[in-house]
Amino acid sequence: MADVFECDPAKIQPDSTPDTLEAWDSLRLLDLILAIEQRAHIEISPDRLEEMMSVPAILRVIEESKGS
Amino acid sequence: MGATSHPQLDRLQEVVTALWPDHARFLRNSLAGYGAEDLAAIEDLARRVCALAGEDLDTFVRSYRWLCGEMNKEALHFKRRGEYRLSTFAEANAQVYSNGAFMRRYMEGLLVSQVLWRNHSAAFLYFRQAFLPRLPQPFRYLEIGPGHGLFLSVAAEHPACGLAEAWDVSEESLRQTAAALATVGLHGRVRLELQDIHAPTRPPGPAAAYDGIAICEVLEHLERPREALQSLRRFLAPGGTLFINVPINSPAPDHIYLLRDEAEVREMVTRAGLEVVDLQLAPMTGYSLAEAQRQKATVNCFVLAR
Ligand SMILES: C[S@@+](CC[C@H](N)C(=O)[O-])C[C@H]1O[C@@H](n2cnc3c(N)ncnc32)[C@H](O)[C@@H]1O
Repeated sequence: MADVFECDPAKIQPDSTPDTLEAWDSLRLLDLILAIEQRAHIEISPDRLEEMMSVPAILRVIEESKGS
Repeated sequence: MGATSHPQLDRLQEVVTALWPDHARFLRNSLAGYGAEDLAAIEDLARRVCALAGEDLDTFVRSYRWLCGEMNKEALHFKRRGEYRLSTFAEANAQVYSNGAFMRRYMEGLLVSQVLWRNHSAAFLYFRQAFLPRLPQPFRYLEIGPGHGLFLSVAAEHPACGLAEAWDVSEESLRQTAAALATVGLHGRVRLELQDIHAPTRPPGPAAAYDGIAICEVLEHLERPREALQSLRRFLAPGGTLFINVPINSPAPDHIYLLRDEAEVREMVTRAGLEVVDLQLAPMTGYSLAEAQRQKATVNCFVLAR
């Protein structure tokens, strides 16, 4: 996440959200998704973008996208 | 901002943050750095948008939030594939234009975005501050695809405006523009005509020569935008100015023609036989121009041509 948002990894906390992390906006979230997809060999459905607004939610969507 | 008040802009922001608290930072970014004169113009824009939304502002703001979500899905496709999802008018017509429920929400959301997206508010400012002041007195004005009628109403209300007309290929769009004009008190002051810019039934000539022609967020919906510009050029009066507002790297449900950078816009305009007099770029909210270009984020391109 720190790579995509170009920030200090320590700034990213489990409770980080678009409102607490200056660099987190919708387009950079898309970069994050693409980076995750490549590493985890998954494809996340565009319909799930809306939920991915916190670190736990992102982790949940990744888990649920495995094997789909 | 000092003592100057922006009641309609404040109200719009309050409704948005009440319904969508996570969007607050986006709104702050979107208006950051505007001076007093710009903010006064954006307050005027917000006043028009709130008037068009009327009692239904909450509904319009919900449609705006939904629209932002749809745009994100398109952006994901664009990032993955490097192109827009659709490429023909037939596809856009089948998936978007002929889908009444989708269109209603889409148009409501886009109306709100005119104030809240930096690239949209910048277009309104450029239109008022760079384009209209170039026109002679009195001027004859034509707009293609006026949609919400926000630019059209500003031109028609301008003290130097002698004649205002608008063309659109869609009967439904013209109905919406007519209703919008009536809401802001311009009923009957603007002539609205069903015309396809690719094949206007009006012959060019003194009766159809305009000092100012505006075409805002239309070219990216066309399969052959350069030909549309070539056709329009014939309707410019001697010394007349064409204002083009076209987005670059702007994935959306009904965008079919991808322009990747400023050079492609310049080439399209020049190859249509027009000369670029001015060109400005307005990146989307939250991006500097350099960063938007690097990330292929949306940048609106404003061109004055003759
Ligand atoms: C997205 S709207 C633009 C609304 C507004 N100008 C704005 O800046 O938001 C595009 C409009 O262009 C119209 N349009 C599309 N193709 C056209 C054509 N060939 N001739 C005339 N109008 C056309 C559409 O019907 C629609 O009303």
